[in-house]
Amino acid sequence: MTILLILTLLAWNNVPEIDLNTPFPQAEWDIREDPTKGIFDAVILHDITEVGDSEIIRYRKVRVLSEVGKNAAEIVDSLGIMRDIQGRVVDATGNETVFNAAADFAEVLLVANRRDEEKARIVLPPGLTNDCIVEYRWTLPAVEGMPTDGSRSSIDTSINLLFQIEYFPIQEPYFVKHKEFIMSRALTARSYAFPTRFSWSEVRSPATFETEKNRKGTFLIYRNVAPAVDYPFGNPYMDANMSRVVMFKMFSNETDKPERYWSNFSDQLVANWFSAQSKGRPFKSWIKEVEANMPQKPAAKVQYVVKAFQDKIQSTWLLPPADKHKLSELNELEKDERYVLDEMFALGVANPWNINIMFREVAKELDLPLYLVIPTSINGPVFRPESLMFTGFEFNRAFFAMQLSESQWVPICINDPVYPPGMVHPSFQAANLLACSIQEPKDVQFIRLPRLGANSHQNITNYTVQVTAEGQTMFSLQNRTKGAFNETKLNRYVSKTESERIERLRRRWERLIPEATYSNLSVEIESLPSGTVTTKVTGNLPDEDTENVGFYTINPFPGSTRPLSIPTVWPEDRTQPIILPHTFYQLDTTNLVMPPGWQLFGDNNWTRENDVGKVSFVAQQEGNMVKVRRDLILKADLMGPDKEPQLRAFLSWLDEAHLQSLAFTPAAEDAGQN
Amino acid sequence: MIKLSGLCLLLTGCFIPWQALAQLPDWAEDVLAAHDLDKSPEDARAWRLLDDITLTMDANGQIIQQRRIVQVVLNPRGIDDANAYIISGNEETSTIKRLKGWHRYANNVIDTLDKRSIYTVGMSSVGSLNRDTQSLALFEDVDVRSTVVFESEEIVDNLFAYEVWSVLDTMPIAKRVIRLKLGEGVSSYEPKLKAVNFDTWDLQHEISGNTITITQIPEFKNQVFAADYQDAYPYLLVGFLKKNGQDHLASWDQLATWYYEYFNQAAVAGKTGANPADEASLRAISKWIDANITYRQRYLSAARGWQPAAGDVVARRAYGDCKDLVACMAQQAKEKNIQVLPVLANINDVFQVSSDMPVANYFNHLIAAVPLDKSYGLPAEVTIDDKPYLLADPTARHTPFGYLHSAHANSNVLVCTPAGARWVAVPATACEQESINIEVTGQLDSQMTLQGTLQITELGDALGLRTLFIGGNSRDLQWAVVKQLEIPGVADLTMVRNEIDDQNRLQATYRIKWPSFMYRDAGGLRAPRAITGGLRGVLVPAGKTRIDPVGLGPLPKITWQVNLQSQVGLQPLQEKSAWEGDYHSFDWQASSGDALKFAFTYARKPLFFPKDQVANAVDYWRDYSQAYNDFWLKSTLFIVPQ
Repeated sequence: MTILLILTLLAWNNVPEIDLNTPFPQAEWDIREDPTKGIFDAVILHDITEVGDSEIIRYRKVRVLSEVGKNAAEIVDSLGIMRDIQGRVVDATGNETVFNAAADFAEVLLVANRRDEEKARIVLPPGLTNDCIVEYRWTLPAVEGMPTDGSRSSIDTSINLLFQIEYFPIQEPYFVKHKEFIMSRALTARSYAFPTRFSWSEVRSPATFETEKNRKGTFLIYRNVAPAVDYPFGNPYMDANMSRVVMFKMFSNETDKPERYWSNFSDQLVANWFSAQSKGRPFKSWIKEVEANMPQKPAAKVQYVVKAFQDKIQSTWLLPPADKHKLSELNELEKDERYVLDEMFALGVANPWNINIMFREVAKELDLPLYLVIPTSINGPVFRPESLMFTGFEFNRAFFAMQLSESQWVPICINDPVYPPGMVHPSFQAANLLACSIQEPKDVQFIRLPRLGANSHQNITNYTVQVTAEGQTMFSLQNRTKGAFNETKLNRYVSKTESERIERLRRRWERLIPEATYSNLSVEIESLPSGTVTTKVTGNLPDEDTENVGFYTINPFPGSTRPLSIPTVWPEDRTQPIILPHTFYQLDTTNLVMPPGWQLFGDNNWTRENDVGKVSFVAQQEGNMVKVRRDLILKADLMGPDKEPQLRAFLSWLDEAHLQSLAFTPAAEDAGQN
Repeated sequence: MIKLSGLCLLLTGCFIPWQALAQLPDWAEDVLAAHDLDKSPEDARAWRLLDDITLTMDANGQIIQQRRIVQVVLNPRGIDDANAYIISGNEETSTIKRLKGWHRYANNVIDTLDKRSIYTVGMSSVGSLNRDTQSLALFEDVDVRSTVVFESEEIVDNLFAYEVWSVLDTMPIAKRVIRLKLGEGVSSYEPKLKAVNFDTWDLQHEISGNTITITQIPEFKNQVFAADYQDAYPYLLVGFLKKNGQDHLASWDQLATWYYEYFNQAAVAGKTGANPADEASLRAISKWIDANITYRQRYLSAARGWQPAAGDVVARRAYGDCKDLVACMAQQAKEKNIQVLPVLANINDVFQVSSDMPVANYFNHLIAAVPLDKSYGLPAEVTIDDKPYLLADPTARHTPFGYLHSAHANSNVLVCTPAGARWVAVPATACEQESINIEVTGQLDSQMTLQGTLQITELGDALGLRTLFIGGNSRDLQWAVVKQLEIPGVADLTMVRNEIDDQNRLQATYRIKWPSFMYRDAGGLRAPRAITGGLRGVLVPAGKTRIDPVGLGPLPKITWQVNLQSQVGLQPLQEKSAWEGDYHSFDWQASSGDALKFAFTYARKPLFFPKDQVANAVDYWRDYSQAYNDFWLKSTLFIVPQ
């Protein structure tokens, strides 16, 4: 009797069958485009996912409202494992097209190499019209609820664990009337060392969310969810409407307390992933050498070891040209999957991932009070410790950090020396990060690093521009950068020879002003960690006829580029925060020399400022020279959606200042003489 | 004894550095020895020293393609050109039998290609289901002075064995050899090789028997406005034809009669309609297809680009590509006993058919020709064998009945009849007239923010707005308006009304708030760049030579009319300006007073200067850009009277 009951429970599911004899309700046919609700092209009437132990059952019903809306009815199964598909399309005249045959599938290759072949299945339902309803049901084979093509192990403690994540976004490009996710009881009853776990989030009004737990399982029901919208400078993961169900593999359910959970995560997984199996003699002798000379105060000790390590190990990303021959040796070492870090240590070159492993071992040996920080990006999935989910962690960009006080941390990007100690890539600033102690791996902290102000990211260019009486224009400039601007330039130039740097700079300018000829180009890089890059360029523009025009215009900042571009489309009713790449201070100055007798035309000076930023343009003539100064300051790079009007105003000023040229006319007295 | 020798060799091998075992093949060493890398072509990023291909037709009608290349990296920009070897293929029709590679670093260390580094990627997507693949062999850490060598062999089984091959590549090629061979016992095929446009490009080449050797091939520069037509560049017609006129490509007539049969067999099981159509019947068929069938490519069979799905299958699927849509039309017509002829077309002028001998690649589209019971005076009517026919393109579903899409303008199409080929010129009136008119009305405040109305009238499908409106929604239309008219993202639009009027014109009206509509420049205020564009750049950068032929498609006439009440009086520097060249024309009119009023019209005819007329292109562009820039600098500037 008990067995029968269990079998009945397992066989039972909550997903409707396709019933060809049942007409669709009139209310579903009555749905029409309604921009006020975000109803365009199609509506997802029902979308049901039931996750069982060895099978996932899917059901979907779509109301198509336009030709573009047909896309909502297409199914792409990127694992190529869907089976038992059956469905029907009914158009507005009542014509019904039933589909369940292989002819309606297309199995296409995604990628193949010597070992693997990945195929996808695409279903284009037949008979779709601009005004129809389509419903279908299919299944996916699974192991412990995770969809699988059979090639994936169900228990895997290696870093591959990170890839065993399935996302079920609730929001779609179309309005969702009803979406339901069911965690079957049969699945949740299972328990392994790394069982399948779930995480989900809610939606905001007017969408609704309800959850119910009964003997069949746990039900998550979302209704009336507005379509996903791509906001410029947004992050859909921070959208108030954004909701997802995530299924992933993690520790057993022994604790739901975040502190303890992440402590286990750090101790059992992170410490394992960032450990070297063999350290070897070169490593140990270097440790002894450093240990003998290092100061004792913690901060000084860290500073000393970081410098010594960076002197010893070079990153493949920033290898100077003279050392590039080491790459072929490194390639051979990396073919050995046992992580022969001792040999890489002897070679003095490693990729960023292995550099982090090496330095973690160094920190451990030398008892440095450091944490390994697993970052998430401010532009990506948000790390919420209470969700017990590691979505969004960028393990390959982990960095180190030292805690100065309860809320003050100094980041150290040991594997990316374009960031001096104290700086990290702006995308990791203000994001939620997980810091795992190196000395006490069970010690974890949830931290945030502050966004930096405009003076931290500077782009300063000083021009001299001279126009001769013959109409020839010569310009020269010197550009110096700091912060994120400097990082871009370091990545562009640091691993190049001097001639390659100049060639690259020349090509850049040839793209910016193709009609100019260039000379005296140079790229100077101060040694890391400062690494300030200074570029110098001299250019000549083709002759202009100044004699007869009576009106001469000139760009006072030839070749300058916008620090921010203006997105074309700004959807209404923004529901996401505004995240700009970083604050900045861009200053351009010009000493512009005109031939005698030319007078600056009109009023060129203006200043605009709001909460987002400030733009000013000033041009003053002193004799033949006009001094021009343009200040572009982005004060805020992280703000709420209510600031969008101010941001757009600021962007329009940026654009205006960027396009502003100066005009000259013959001075009145000269005109009189003529 | 043999086993012992093998063991000794194995043991010895353990003590030899691995690099010493790897060597470049002798043929590659010979190529390298024959070239002085210090005498590489000027400005080259990478240099292919040899590109040697042998095509062998085997007894199964399949082609075995063997290829060897040797290339060196000359500067960092050449790394991405030289480090990879790509074989375009198809899961159904091609198989890579062998692929080897060598990378010699500047310090003479040699890597051999790791088979695990070869990836084959499917090129299919939801919009285009196909079995196309690209196999990529890649060496990492290729750097300046690296030498990269590849050797491959693949078997190809295409519908046609005679194809167009491009000659230029992304790097200059010192020597390119293509030789054609017949496999053992193959007597029914003959090799064919023809060089096209070589004289225009002054390419050094020698044809000896079935082998062509081309030397000192320049790289494709991809300079600004490089023509996007195959015919503008040198190319080869390469492959094999069945002997004694048995090949489908033996003549245009043969191609047409073969395709007529092939198409009808697949589309309507060989049973076509027999009669001419009356307008009402044809209009009804066209209307049904427009309403029910969506464009989607489904290229899953070996015959892919040529064989349509059966017409009734297309009707059930409700989607298909151009030939599927014609097949569906043929099926619908058959039910009314109306004849439909397949018509091979070339849209957007990718080829100007100039050869007396057909090549399959000349065509990129299929439309239909339907005999009419009488002339109805429809714009796309043509005469074939003294009878009226209507050219119809069911792919261009939102084009009004009786018209063709503007992509067919000035083209010739090949009508496939049971009696052979009929070349027909698309009538000048067959394509819809296209233009855009935009009216801006409202107020301009002292900060130069416009608040008013934007009224757009699209004639034809000039910017694709009509198609988008019919197939999509009001939000997508609004975003397309912003993108196509280059209205800056800082402007806010609110939809007031969208409709297709009784003249089949899209009318779209928006309320608009546009900050910095007139923007500070040159001591005054400049009209928006969305209306007038900006300064025109150069065709030839300083110190460079124009190599590529010049080509630009047409731009429909666009007219902006701005009429605003302004809080600040603005006076134009010039009230009138106009210019008309062979290809471009523009006209500007502005007036001063309490209201800010100006109108601007701009249009471009299709422009093409082949390789031997590049100097003319440079002269034309200089005149045009000078005229335009003079106009722009002065005429679009307004000043605030003191």
